[in-house]
Amino acid sequence: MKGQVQKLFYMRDRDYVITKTLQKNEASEKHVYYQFLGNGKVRTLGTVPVKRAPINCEGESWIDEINEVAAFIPSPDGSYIASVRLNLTCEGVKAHVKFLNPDDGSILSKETIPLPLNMVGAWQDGNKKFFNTQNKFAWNESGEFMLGFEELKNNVVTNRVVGWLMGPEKDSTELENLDYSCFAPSTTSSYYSSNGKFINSSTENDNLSIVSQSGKVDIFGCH
Amino acid sequence: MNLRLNFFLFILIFLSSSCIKWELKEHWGIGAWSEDDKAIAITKLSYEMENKGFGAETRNHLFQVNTALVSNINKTKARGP
Repeated sequence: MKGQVQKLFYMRDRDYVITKTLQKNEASEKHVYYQFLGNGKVRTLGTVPVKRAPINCEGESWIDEINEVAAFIPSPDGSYIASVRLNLTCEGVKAHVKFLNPDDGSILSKETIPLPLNMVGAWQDGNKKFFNTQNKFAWNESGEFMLGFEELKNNVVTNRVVGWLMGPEKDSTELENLDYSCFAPSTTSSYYSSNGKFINSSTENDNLSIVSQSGKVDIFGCH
Repeated sequence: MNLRLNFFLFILIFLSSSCIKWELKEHWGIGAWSEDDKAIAITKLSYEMENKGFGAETRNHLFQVNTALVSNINKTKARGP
């Protein structure tokens, strides 16, 4: 497969792997999200250009500077995939959230949420207006998806995460003020095991080994 | 004068470009634990890298997803193409 893998999730019980891949050539750069299924097939979950074209709104050029406009994150047991796509429109930034069935990729539910001003950073340079968000997307231990954003006041972070608790079979509710540890890692599959071990590869003999990390590591859940 | 300068630049560019060699690199990339910590997924990377010490460019990046049980971590199994 083409590209450089930047993120990886492995849901063993449901038998799939999700990758976030950077693909670039002389003409363009894009992020492609793949799902590697147990039967050897590969499903493309989404493709997002790294740089998006400006849009013309209110006589200005509005530029999407959002660092991470898409995310595909499996639920803690792998039975759902949360799909988030942030879009800059002339009405502001909108979050399109879908919950996917990992077996066939079908959409189980979807919702579009316009982000209020305290979740969006915006600054002006002449006729150009730039927008960004600081995303905190993760599942919690109860199996709910947290669509979180750093709260901003005059483009300065307040050290509070605001947003919504969502799920495929429930109405979204307001996110409580949660510790940052609740958002990293974003699900049960991550670079570290639940007891803080990581995978090491030897440059000498290409062998893989499991190594204990000294000090505090980020493991799933609020700590 | 201009012709001589252009010729000199052409020779310089030709020589510098002909010196660049691309080496094939293959090694393990990032990995992740499964949700139950019983297995891992890890990427095998393949790309070309310029053979210069500093600021080397890379190109033609390819990857393959592999999985393995933690109990036998070096018995990896490729998944997908």
